[in-house]
Amino acid sequence: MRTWPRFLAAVAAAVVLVLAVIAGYTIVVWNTLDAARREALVPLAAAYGDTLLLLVIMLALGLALALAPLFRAYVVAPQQLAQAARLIATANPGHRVTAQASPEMRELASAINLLATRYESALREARSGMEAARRDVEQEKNRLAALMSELTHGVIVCNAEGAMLLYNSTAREIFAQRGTALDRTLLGLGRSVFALIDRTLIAHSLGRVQEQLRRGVARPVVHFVTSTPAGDLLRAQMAPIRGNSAAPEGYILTFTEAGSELAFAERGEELLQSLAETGRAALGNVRAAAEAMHEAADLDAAQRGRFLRVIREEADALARRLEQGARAHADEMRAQWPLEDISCGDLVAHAAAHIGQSLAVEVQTDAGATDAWIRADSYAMLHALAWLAQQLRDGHGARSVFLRTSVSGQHVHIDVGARGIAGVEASSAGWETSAIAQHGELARRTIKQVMERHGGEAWQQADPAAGEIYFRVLLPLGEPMARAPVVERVYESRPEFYDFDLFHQSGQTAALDNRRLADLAYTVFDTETTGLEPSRGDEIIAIGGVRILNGRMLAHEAFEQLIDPCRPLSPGSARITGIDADMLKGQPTIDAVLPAFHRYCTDTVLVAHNAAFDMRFLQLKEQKSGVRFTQPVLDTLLLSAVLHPALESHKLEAIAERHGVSIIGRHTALGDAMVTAEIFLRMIPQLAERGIVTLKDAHEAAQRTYYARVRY
Amino acid sequence: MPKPRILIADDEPNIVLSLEFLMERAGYAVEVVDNGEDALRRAAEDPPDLLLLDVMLPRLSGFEVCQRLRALPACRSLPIIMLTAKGRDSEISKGLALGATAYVTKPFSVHDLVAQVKSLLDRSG
Repeated sequence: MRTWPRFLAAVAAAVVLVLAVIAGYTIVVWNTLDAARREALVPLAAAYGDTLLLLVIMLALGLALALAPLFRAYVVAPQQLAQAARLIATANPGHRVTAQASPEMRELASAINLLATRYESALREARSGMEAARRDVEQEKNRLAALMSELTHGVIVCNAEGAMLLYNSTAREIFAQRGTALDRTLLGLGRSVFALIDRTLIAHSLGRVQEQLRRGVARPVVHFVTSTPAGDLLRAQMAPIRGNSAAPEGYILTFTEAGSELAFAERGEELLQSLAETGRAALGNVRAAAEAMHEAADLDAAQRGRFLRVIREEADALARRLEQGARAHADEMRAQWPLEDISCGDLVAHAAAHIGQSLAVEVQTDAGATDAWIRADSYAMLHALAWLAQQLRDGHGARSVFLRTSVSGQHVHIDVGARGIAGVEASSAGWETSAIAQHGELARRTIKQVMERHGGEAWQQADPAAGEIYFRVLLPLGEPMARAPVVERVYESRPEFYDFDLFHQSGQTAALDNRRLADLAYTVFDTETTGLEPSRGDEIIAIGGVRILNGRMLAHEAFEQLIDPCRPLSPGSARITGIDADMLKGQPTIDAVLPAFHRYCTDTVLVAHNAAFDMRFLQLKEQKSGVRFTQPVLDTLLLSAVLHPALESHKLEAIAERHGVSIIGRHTALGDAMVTAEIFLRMIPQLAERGIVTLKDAHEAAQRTYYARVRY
Repeated sequence: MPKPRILIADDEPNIVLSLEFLMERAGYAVEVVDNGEDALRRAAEDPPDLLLLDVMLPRLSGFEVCQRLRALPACRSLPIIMLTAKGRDSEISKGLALGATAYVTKPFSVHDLVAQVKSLLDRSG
């Protein structure tokens, strides 16, 4: 208690004050006395000296008794009130100060209590408001999640830099199903969408969206066609997410697989086409007959009857056909996906890749019309071009084919041809009406049908002088941009769903060292191996990884792969890992898995427990797999030693227990990776308390620990 | 002077009836075939003075017939008028690229067609 010495000091001061007054008075009186009286007083003072001391002590006690209640009321009480007020403000708003002795202090205490009551209820209101808001957000989020997962379209939302902020399960299916098993993990929050879709295509489409925004188009949207990493075509649609600035903050991509929408539109086109044709033919016949009757006034009754019969027949047939057509139209045209704009260059590049791959022929492209746009069902067109190339290969033995484009008037020519083939005549026999595919969406479709759908034509031409034979596909030139209506309107600044933090996160290209640990993206991983000595030929048999983004473990985007080590397992390793030789049979080998894992780790910091061990295994495979893991690495073992230098054990189990992380699936690569990730997440704030905030801080601190010196 | 000979290749009897009637009245000798193969064979054997060729013919399309005839020296300058019910730009381009002299889309005026036939025959005759 610091008040006790202060009380003593106060009492002492009071005693000194009283004595000083008495001494002063004595001196004044002394000075007025003559010598005889002074001499008479001296022995008196000597005789009562003891009594005087006693008097002083009694005075002190008396003063102490008198001062105590005052001190309690006006010094101790305010101190207690201050502490209580502090307690209310910081720890317990429900606390109240107790009643006080003095009226002033009672007043003060009741004022404090009033303030505390108001504060408490304000706090409660704020909390419940926050809680309600959180519940709303949560509900909205669940609703959005449910909605997104019900969509038949794949949806990916990206920020302006191409980092994925959101995707739905359909997008996941589209990209997972089409990619190889190892590429499944290219889709993930915070990952770059450019791993899925060509950067130039995105940039091009974004440019077109911005162009539409500048023109004030009401609903800017761009259709394009892309392919999955495995090469299947997807129809894609890009719409911007508008922020406060002129440039979009991000964009929404929606996808459908190209095949599934084909049938509707194609049948609709066919129907219209056939109606127009039969209509024209019938009208032609009627008109010709009418003209014949008109021109020849001298017809006999039999001739006249024949022409009249033609007119009647044709009119009836046309009426029937129109009736059928109207009905079929209603049935077929319910959903129509428009042909999308695609540049000749893109189409030809796609076609060249597809032809080269599927037909194993050399493909030269000679694009004179790269920038020309056509409206095409590029899926069908691509397969049609490939089929034509196949005719050159199979029919004329062409080893290499060329794809050549040019613009002629309102048309684009796409020539699929071969050179150096002598003595061949061009022909239209048969090929136009052969099926270009035996199964799938294009089963039994013919070149003729594909051309009709595009308002195009195809024929074969030979140029004996140049030694060329080629198929010419002629398609109408499209307009690069649909004439969207210009509408003056004021827009709300952004759609009503979330505030995605990642919108404002710059790319991870800045110097990582100075970034805060809490802001970085991590891949936390673990390996299982055949043994502990990589230099003696021990191999990785499993890799598990999980990513951390914005302080959250993304458990749904985990990486997990067993690996055939191409060597026998020791009985011990099977016991620890639970992985036996049978499980590894038929699994990919390390040189196939590491490149995929490397892609998974792109732009992240690696984290592992006893990372030196895992990194050593990865390094020894650099040559064989052709990938180097050059990312920064953090080790939870070293970080644990930084945080708890006095504690003996830094084994994963011990650290997990210390941090209250429950262990599930220990000794599976993914299980351990997840435990490590959770531990790491809990370490970040503890490190910050010790002033270890950036990646650089963490590295330096880790290096100073003993464990950093262990080598494998 | 013998009558100019016109070969009509069309498989629709209802148009052939009128065409044949009006061409004959205009003073031409008319022969009719109803499929592509016959059209090619007849024109190759004994080239007519003009060929009215429907595009949609059974067995061999009008385009094919046209392309093959142009490869024959005897038919290189034979006037060929192609008839079609489609009438799309691209199809017309194709017909002309494959050697058609003229391209007529249905419904056409037979009166105009006769005038066109006459002018082509005058030019080549």
